[in-house]
Amino acid sequence: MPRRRHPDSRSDESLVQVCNQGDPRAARAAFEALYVRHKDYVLRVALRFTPDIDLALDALQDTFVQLLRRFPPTGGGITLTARLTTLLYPIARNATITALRRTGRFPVADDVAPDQLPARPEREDDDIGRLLAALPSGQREAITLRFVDGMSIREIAEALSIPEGTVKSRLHQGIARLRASSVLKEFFD
Amino acid sequence: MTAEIEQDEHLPSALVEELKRIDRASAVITARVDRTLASMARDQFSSRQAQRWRQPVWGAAAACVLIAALFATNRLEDEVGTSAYADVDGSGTIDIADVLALARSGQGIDQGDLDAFAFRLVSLDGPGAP
Repeated sequence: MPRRRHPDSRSDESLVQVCNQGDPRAARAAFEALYVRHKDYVLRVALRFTPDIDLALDALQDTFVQLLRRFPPTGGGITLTARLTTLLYPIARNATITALRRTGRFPVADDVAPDQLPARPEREDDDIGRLLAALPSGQREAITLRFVDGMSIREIAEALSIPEGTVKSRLHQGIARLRASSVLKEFFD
Repeated sequence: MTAEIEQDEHLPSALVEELKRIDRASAVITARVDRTLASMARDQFSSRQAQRWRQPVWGAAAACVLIAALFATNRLEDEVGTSAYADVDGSGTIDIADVLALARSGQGIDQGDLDAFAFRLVSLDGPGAP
């Protein structure tokens, strides 16, 4: 997609609205703006589960194709009830897992338990990265969504389709593990 | 949730910055992905255009039917207005009182006109029926 010289200043909600109802030219421009705005985020999400850049790019493409298909005429349109990233996250996550399964690098199962999510192997010299990767994946995911993506508890619950209490519990347990680590002692002192 | 958990939801800002650094993607999104999505978006929304093209046709057809109906209605009203079947007493409705008012006026009205007027008022098809 051609890069715009100036980023589109319209909100995600406005752009989604145009994609839902706008004329073809306006809808295409709005979708392009959404893509430009969120493609880096989607790629980062994919790379949380795999170090394979080609596979992550496949997941990125698949994520936006799925988003595109939700707009008319193939879909009924999108009603945003939270930030668009709350909608994009589970699509990107599942697209990455699907891509991993396609290559035989992740077991095929209907549902993925939170502690069975694949984790990107961290560099040996990155203590914090290795510590994070060693967390049970449900806790790692909750911590990343909360502190890296800046999602609220409610948004995390919506993105993961789990109760808010479960999100809080995973955060609590994950942070407790980080606190207990000698590697991170300096951060908590 | 207890206050303890709410408090534990916070991480030191320096650690949060480290987590963000780890999460930062160093990969570059290839032009191939950009082009593929641009093409798919064009196809997706162009097909919407094809569907929208059909809407004005149906709209025009509906408008034609509406205009024809209005024309027919106006014509019928004109016929009623120019004949003896009129709101003679100005009550807003055409009823038996108009027949009586018309009979009293005697303005070029004969018994046949009054009978026809009265017949139309009590006809099963209602006023204005042929």
